Amino acid sequence: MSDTPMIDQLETGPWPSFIKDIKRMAVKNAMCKDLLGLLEMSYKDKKTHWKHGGIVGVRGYGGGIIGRYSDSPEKFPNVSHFHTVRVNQPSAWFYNTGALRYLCDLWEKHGSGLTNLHGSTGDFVMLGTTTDQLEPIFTDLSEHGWDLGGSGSDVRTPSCCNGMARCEFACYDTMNLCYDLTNEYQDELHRPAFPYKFKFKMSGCPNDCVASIARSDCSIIGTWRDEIQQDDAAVAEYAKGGKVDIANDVVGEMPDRLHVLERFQTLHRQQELQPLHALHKRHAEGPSPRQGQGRDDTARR
Amino acid sequence: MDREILSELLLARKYQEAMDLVKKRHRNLRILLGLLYSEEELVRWRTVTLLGLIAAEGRTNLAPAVRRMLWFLSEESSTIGWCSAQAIAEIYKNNPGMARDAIRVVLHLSDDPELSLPANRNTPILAGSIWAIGALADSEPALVSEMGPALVEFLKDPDPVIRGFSAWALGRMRFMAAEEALNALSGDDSFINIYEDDSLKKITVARAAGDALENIVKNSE
Repeated sequence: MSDTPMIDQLETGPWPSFIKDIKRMAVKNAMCKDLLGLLEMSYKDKKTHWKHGGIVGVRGYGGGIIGRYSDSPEKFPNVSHFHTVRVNQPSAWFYNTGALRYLCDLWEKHGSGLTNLHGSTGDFVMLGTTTDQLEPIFTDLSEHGWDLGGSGSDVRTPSCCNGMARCEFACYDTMNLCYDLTNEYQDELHRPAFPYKFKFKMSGCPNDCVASIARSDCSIIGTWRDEIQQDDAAVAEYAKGGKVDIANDVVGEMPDRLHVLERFQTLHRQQELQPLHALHKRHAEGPSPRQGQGRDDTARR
Repeated sequence: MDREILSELLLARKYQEAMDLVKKRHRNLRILLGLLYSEEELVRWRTVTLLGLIAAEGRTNLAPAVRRMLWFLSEESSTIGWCSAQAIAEIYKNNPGMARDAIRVVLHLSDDPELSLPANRNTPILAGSIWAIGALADSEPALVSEMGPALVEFLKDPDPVIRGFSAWALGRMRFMAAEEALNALSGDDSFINIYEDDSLKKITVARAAGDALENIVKNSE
């Protein structure tokens, strides 16, 4: 009979479970074993067994570490402390495998081995360590070129989309701006500077893939300065070339394909073929009142 | 960069120039508060002193800064208030009106079981609270006297910083009930850094206890 029947139920069903991940770590890590026990107790008691906060940190910084203590250290001593370390992620979350291995090895050595990739702000989050490990972790990270992220009443770690690295829609170099802002506001990031948090997020285009409008105080979104410039002749030639069946391969795969296809066919008839991103832009702007009514009309037909 | 300039002024004890720089731009007060986190210990302590001087001058309202520092001592979203306790005490000492609501919380941090239990101990924060008690002993003896028994218990603490700071504070309080416990520290050769009269002094716990006993005896004569 399992010691954790209630949280075991989270492993059933078609989707991956964090319980499965913790159990896999629990084979070799006592913190993870006790974490499962504490979580099971929380489910039974229908309340959290984490105490309110915890005053911990590293010298020279006012944030970057989130303190957590359990209220049942006698029952689960290996999670009596379970602090989180926030690591400032690389711009656009680009890592090479060596970097990922280093971070994971560091965490298995000094903590539970459990991570969030990534936290909501964007940091590489390392979950679960003890107070006496904080300074060694910080020293090790610093020596390998990493830094803590922002937390509490600091500027939080800026984050950005892939931008020019991978995306045709990028209107500016988001990664460069993210890097610049992070360095410009190092003092504010590591020492409490504001009444509470302040977040910068950068998206290269109005798709706003980092959800900067919803999730930041200063949202920087790239946009076109004027109408999209295109070479109509080149686009028409491309479309005639037969390499891409825009109607079936692109428009046909779009969610609202009926109204988009109608629009595309209208444009095609008018011989105003437009590049995909212009269609995409119109799609992002939302349906016009006429189009919205058209959808209802379609249903009634 | 103003942060570097402020640090240099503090290290050189040029407090008036530092105050003028802080008053020049509002942003510089925020930079000054950031120096409470400096990696250089003497800069942190002299920032505490400068905040006291600014409070004494009375032209810059530090009450919002005090409220924020109090928040840093207790909030759970992981901002930590290194030197906040000392700064609040120094502000209160020089201008009680700016920190009246906060001072009792700061002094009673050393009572807080969450903070003082070995399992949850944050030594710098606890030490800061103890230093705050000592710093206010001359100007607010009635306010700090109730903390005496707790500090006497800390004389037996496994951490030399806590023992040493408690001895120092009890000496400034002239707390007679601490005599026996202070005597028991006469052989304690652990070193601590204690900030007094604008300087960091490296002394043994035994020396701190001896100085405290001298103060207590003088007071009783």
